[in-house]
Amino acid sequence: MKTFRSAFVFFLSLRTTIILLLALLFLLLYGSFAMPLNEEFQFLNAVPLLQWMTNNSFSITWWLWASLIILSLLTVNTFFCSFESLIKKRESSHWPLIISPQVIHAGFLFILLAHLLSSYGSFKGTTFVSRGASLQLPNGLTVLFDSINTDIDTSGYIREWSAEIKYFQQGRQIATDVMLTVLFDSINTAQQPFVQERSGDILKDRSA
Amino acid sequence: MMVIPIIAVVLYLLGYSRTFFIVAGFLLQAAYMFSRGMQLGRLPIVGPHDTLFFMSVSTVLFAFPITYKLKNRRQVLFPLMGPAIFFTILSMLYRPHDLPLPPVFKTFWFEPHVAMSFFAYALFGIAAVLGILALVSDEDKIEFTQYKAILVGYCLFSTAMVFGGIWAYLAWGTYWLWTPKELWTVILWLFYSLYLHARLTKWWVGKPSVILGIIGFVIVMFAYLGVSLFMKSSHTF
Repeated sequence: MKTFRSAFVFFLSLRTTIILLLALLFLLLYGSFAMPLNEEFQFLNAVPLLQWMTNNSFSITWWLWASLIILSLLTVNTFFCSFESLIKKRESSHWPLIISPQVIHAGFLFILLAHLLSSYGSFKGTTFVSRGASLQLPNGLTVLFDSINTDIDTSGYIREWSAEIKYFQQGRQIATDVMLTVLFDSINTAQQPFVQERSGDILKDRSA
Repeated sequence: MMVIPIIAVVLYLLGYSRTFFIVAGFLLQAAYMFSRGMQLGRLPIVGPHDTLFFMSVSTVLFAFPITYKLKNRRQVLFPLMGPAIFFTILSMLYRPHDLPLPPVFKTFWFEPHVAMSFFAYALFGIAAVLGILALVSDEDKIEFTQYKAILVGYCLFSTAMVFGGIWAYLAWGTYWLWTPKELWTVILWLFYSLYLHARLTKWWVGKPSVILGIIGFVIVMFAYLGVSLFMKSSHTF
């Protein structure tokens, strides 16, 4: 009971928040300088985070593991403090005062949850295709890049691009489409992830 | 066109005697940005020249409302021209970026993301100067003004990070990339989160939090300029 109470007080404390934030800051500061010095970090963006962390040496990943632990504690701390804050301020009629910190807290927790989910089970692959090339998607479909069109300005820079693609399933064409930049009033949407069922194709400039 | 930043700097220096000169300098800088925008067909916020200039304009833009209710307004407003002058001079060391936007920039989310980031940086810079003034003058009102500047900057910066994530998803297929630039924006966000929480505690209220507000701008400068100059990142354009 005493341990439970101590833990409760620990997670409700603003001092805990400050110590955790300081610790996290120092870890990430270290990591920002350590990353360029180890070539293993070049592949950090190619696979889910937890997979990369378990596949690489603890001597280079320790700060990421420590950051995860700190973030876990910070998550619990945020929950506890948010609930306590809402309960304490429930009598107040000044509702912006009540909800504004909680909006940031909720956003912070939501983003952490999203990162956690993608650290477990996201997939990202990059490949290069040329005109007439095809590639297999994880869902079994085959995508054929029938033509790739570019609009190049006088300086030689690519302004726009598009690709005419065909989808095949078991050797039979099932759909055609065009991946392009879309002009919608004053909104330009470039490279919108083109979603076919549960996979997304991203058309990128090879030099990007 | 490069004579305009020089005239703006002179006007900001003359602002020591009359606020009118600061207003004139701001209008001149705004006119220069407007003309660049018309020339390019977009907000001029790509490349070191344009971003440094935008930073300078943003600093002056926010300096007026931030200092509005202070009784010794001109004595606070003039030191805030320090960062504005610094960034204007720095912007003159780089050539304007007149090349067409790469396709990765051609999305609605790019301009608000960059604009809000620089508004936030400007507010953090204002807060740093206010922190120095608060330490020198020991005035509570200036310390509270520093807090307000950081709070507004923090909200804008949080929004900028969300917009940046959406842009990244459209540009690279992912909301987040482990690159120095992204990591340093998180460090910056966490630092000001620390400031906002620390200021609520008795050990940090007063001078310690004022000093935190000053240190924060060092992190801003590294996140903005240091990463681009010293570290390789997909965020460098």
